[in-house]
Amino acid sequence: MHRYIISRVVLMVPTIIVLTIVTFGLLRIMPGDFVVAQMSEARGSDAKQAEIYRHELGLDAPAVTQYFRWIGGIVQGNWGTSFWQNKPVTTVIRTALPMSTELGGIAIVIGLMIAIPIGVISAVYQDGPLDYLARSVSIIGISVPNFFLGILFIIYGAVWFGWFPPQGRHELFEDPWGNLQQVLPGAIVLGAAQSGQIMRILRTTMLETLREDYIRTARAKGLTEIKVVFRHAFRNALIPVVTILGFQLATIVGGSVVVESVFGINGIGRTYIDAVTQRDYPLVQGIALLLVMVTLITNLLVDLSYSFLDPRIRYT
Amino acid sequence: MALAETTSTKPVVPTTSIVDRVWTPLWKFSKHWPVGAACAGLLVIASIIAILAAFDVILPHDPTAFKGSDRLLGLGTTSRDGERFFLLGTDNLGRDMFSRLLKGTQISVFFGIGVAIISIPFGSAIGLFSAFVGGKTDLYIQRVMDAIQVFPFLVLAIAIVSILGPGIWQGFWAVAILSIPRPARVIRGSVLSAKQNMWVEAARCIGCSDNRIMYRHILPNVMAPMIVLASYVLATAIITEATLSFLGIGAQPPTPSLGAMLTQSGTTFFKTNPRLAILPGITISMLVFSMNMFGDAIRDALDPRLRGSR
Repeated sequence: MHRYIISRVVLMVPTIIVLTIVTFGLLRIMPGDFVVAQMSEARGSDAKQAEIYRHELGLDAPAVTQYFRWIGGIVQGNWGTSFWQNKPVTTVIRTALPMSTELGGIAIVIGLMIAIPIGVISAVYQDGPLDYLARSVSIIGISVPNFFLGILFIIYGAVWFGWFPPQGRHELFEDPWGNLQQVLPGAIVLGAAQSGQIMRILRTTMLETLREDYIRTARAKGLTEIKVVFRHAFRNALIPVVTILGFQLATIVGGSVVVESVFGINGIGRTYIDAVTQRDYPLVQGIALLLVMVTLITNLLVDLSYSFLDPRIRYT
Repeated sequence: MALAETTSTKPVVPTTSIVDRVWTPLWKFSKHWPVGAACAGLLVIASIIAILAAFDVILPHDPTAFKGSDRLLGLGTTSRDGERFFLLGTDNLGRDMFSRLLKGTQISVFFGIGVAIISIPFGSAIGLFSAFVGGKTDLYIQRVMDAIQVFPFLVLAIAIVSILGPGIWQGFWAVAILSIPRPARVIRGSVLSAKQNMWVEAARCIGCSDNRIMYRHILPNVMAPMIVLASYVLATAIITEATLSFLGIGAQPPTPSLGAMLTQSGTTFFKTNPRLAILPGITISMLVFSMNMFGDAIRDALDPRLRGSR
C-alpha cells in the first residue's frame, strides 16, 4: 500500500513538469504580454518605457531562463508575484479559493443529495413510470447549459422575488446571509448538472449489481428489501460514483468559471479569466499548477478509496 | 405454367430487401424506445434546418441586418412600416429572432458535427492503436491522454482561444483537440476486451496480418460504442461552443451563435424581454437533450445486459 502510494506520487512529478511547460509555453505563444495589455489601457505606447517595465518584471530574459526562474521559485515555495495585483500569487489564490471551495463543496453535496435517492429508486423500479421520470429529469439536468440555468435564476429571481445576486465580496463568517445569497444559486446550478451524471452512472451500476448472485442469496436468507438494496447492492455500486466524483472536481473548477461570472462571485475561475486577459503570467501559471495538482491528488485519492469500498481490490 | 409454379422445389430464401434491412430495425427501435426515436426525429429536423439555413433558404429575414425602428418587438408582430413579419419578435437591435435562432442552430449543429468528425476518428485511431500494440507504447499514450484530461477543459480551451484569437473557428480547434482523449479512452477499453476473444486468435492462426486483424476483425466489433460516443461528443461540443460564446471568447458579434445571443441581448434586457435569453437557451437545451436521449436509447438498444426483467 505504502509503496503503491509512493510510486503514484513519484509518477505525478513528470506529469506536473510537462503540464507546467505546456502552460508556460501557451502563455508565451499568446499574442501580447502584460506590458502591452497595460500600456494600451494607460498611456499609449512608449517603446522605451515598455522596455524598462519589461526589465523590471523580468520579461526581457529568454523564455527558458524565465521558466527556470519560475520553477526554481516554486521548488522553494515562492510562487512569484502577480503583475497585475502586485501581490504574491499565493495571497491572491488564498483570497479567491475559499469562495470557490465553498461553491464546489455545496454543489457536490446538493448533487449527491439529489442523485443518490433518485438513482437508487430508478434502478429498483426499472422501467416503471418513476424510472422514466427520473431519467428524463437527469438528462435535462445534463442538457441545460450551466449559464442558461444561471440566467433563468437571475431573470425569475428578479421578476418574481426582486432578488439580485449581490455584487462584490461577501465573506462567509462576516456576512453569512450575503454570502449564501451569492453562492447558493450557483451551487444549485452546478449541483443540478452533476446530479444528472451521478444519477445515470449510479442507476446503471445498481442495475448490474442487483442482478448479482449475492443479491439473490441475500433475498433468499430473508433480508428485508431495504437491507438488500442499501447494505448489499448500494455499497457495491458506489465505485463508479466515486470515480465520477473525482472527474467532476476538475469540471467544477472549469464549470465554475461560468457560474462565477454569471453570479458575480470572485472565485478562482474568474480570477483565472481576468489573469489570462491581463497576461498576468505568474498568476495564470500559479492557478494552472494548483488545479493540476488538485486533480492529480483527487485521482490518487479516488483510486485509493476503491480498496476501502471493495476489499477485494488491493494495491501492492 | 401454373403447374411449374406449384411444383417448384426451390428452397425458400429469406429475402433481404431494403425494407427488411432498414425499416424493420428502425421500426423495432422506435417501438421500444419511442422517446429516443422522437429525439432522433428532432435531430433530423435540426440537421435539415442547419443545411437549409446554411444556404439562406428558410431564413425569413437577414439574421444580422439591424433596423433601429424595429427594436424589441414582441412575438408575432409586424414591423413599423408594416412590411416585415416577425414570428418570434426582434431583439434589441431590431434583428429577427426567428432567423437568428435558425442560423444559431446551424452554427451549433455544424460545430458539433465538425468536432465529432475530427475527434472521433483521431481518438478512435489512437485508442485502437494504443490497445492493440499494448506495452510501453500504450502506457505512454495513455499518460498523454491523462495529461490532457487532467487539465480542466474550459481552462485549457480559454488558453487556446486566447492564443488563436476569439472566433468560432479558433474555438472549434480548441474543442476538437480537447475532445480526442474521451473517444481514445473508450475505444481503447472496448478494443482491450475485444482482443481477448477467440476469433482474434483464430484470425492470427490462419495468418492474418496485424493490420487486417485490427481493421477487419476488431474495428467492426467496437463500432457500437463509437456510435453512442458520437452522440455524446456532439452534445458536449455544442454546449462548449455555447459556453465559449457566452463568455465572449467564441463567436463574435454579429454572428448569431446561440450562446452569444444569451449574453449580448439576453442578459441586458432580461427584465423587460426575458424571451431574448429564454429562446436561445431553450434551443440549445433541446438540441443537447435530444442528442443525449438518442444516445441513451441507442446504448440501451445495443446493450442486452441491462434489458428486461431480473
